[in-house]
Amino acid sequence: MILLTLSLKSMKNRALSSTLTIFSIAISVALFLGVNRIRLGAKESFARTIAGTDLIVGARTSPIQLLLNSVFHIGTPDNGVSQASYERIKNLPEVAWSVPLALGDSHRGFRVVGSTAAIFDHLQYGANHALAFEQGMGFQGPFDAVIGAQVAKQLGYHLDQEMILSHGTEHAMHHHADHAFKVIGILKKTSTPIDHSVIVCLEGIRAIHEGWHNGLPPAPGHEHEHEEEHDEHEHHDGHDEHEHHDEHEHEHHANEEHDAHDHDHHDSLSAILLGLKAKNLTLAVQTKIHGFEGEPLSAILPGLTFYELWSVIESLELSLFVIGMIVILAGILGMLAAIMTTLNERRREIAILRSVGANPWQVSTTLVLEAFILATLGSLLGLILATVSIFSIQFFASADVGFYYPHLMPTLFEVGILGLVLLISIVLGLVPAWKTYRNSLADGLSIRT
Amino acid sequence: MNVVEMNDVEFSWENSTQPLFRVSQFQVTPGQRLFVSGGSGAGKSTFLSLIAGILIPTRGSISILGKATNKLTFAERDHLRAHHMGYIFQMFNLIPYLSVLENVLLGLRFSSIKQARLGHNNLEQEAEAKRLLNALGLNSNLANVAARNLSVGQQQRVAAARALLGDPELLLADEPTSALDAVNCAQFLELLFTECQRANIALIYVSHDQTSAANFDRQITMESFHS
Ligand SMILES: Nc1ncnc2c1ncn2[C@@H]1O[C@H](COP(=O)(O)OP(=O)(O)OP(=O)(O)O)[C@@H](O)[C@H]1O
Ligand SMILES: [Mg+2]
Repeated sequence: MILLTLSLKSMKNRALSSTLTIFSIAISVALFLGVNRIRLGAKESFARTIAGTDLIVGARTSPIQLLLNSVFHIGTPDNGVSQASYERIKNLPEVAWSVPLALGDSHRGFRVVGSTAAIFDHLQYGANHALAFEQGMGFQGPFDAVIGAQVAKQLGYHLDQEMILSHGTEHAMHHHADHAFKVIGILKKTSTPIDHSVIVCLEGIRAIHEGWHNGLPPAPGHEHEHEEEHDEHEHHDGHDEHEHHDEHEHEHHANEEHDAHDHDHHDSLSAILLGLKAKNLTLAVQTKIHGFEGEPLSAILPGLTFYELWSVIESLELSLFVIGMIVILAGILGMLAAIMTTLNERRREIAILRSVGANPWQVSTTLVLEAFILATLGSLLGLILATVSIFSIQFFASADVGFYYPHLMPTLFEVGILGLVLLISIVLGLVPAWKTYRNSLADGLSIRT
Repeated sequence: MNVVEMNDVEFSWENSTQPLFRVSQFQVTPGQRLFVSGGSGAGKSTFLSLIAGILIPTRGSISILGKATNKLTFAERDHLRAHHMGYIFQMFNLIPYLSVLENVLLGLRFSSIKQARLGHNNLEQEAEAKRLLNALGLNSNLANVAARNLSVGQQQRVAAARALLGDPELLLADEPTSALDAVNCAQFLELLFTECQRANIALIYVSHDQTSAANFDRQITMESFHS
């Protein structure tokens, strides 16, 4: 007890140095915990983006590409799935539900997702939450739009707000100004890319692209004839048409660009989410879809592909961990250095303690105690710092980054790490303690000045 | 029983071949006041360290209150010092960031026996500490002042109060007045004597300055132990 009191008073006596030491440990611990929580939060929010979907179907591409396109709304697929294939897949006996996705348009930087009303019934995220409406309802007519929570918040949109969709996603060049959409529903926050999406029905998407070919609007002056143009085109060799517009492609960020198929590509879909009647049918249906004749398709298992994607990131995890540990070690070494510099001025105090009957072991214990107390305070402060900053990120920035870290209390892993920090501190605290032990034996009752 | 008893004691530092001193017979009886003189480097401090149990003799035996220090473990010797001795240094007696009172009470912290003598009650302990401070000529409103703010003379009084607290059988003082002026020195010694007498505390007082030697019961010189 007296040893603890002495340690505390001695630390208080060197308040500035002690405070700095505590802060240096706190910052290193907070950095470590923060990086770790961001990593876990990223993984968590990543994994919770989609749930309940058994297969995602798209034009043949790599599984990761398809996952990024369809779930994370990153990039747009080069090719689409034809209406015919969609019908076929939808009507497969194993399929319980299907949600078609047509991507490629945007509204003021937010992605437009063309789909059917099935999206509100079947799209799930996190622990199998379905989409829920904050206000309004799902689309009724072709020009109704349902907007995600962030779209509403950032653009300040309310129900009945009119909106013009644009073609392309990054630098929209063409606005579908002749067809205004109206907000009919606003979704609740999901912390997934849906928050940043505008959902409209496929008919709406089709209508605004009426008369378009290969991602290009109808030529000026032809607007009134687009019905004919469309019909004409049906009889054309689409390949010619394609080549003709090649030089303008880059301006329009053409998406869903079709091979040489001779039908309006806006009938084609970017991806289809499938729910099956039973989980164990997944591989059979996947094989079936891969074997479709006429159209090369990919069908992926979202969970599996997600882990494939995460494994790319995972190689970074170890280096982050090692860097974090080194930062913590640097903090503890700083504390050790601070304690070591006080050893000489302590020799007097030690002789005094010895004179009143303290043994060398007790005298050196005060140093280990000091290291332990500094590290404990530093770790606790670091934990608080990390918790506060992660939660502020979630409250103030989560909306934009879709970051999700739900734990307030430290996890077992973190407690283990903090325990390790304290253990290292005690072990390193033995260095000055040992030196003090030796000093106290050598000095005895002589006071060095 | 003698407080200190030495028989054929010889002490030499590890790295020296020549013994620093030899003591064939030496006793201190309870309450006795002993003056030890000697030139610088004569071995006065070493002599006190041997009695305090910090060092053990190279040869022979030293008994404190009947216990031979060379037969005790390190920890037992530390206990012996904690329970039965008080110690005053030449200077730097106090832990600078503790208050005067805390410094005095430090004398009890490692000894359950000293505490028991005063009663385990904190208030009783503090009352005795304050009484000693007063008796040694320190105003009791200095009790909560940080030790670093005291003058050297005041610090030595606080050190004496700490060493006397809990009525140890033996008080060891290593030139406690060498930093004081003559008036202060005489005063300090007088108060020390009074307190030692009150509790029948034996005093071994070391100094190279013979001025006050006459006031002690007995005088020896370190040189008499050199051969
Ligand atoms: N820890 C030590 N190791 C080796 N030799 C020591 C040690 N301490 C003291 N000595 C030697 O022992 C001798 C006696 O030293 P001591 O400190 O006992 O003398 P002293 O009489 O107290 O002198 P002073 O009046 O200067 O305090 C000296 O020669 C000194 O060099
Ligand atoms: Mg000396």
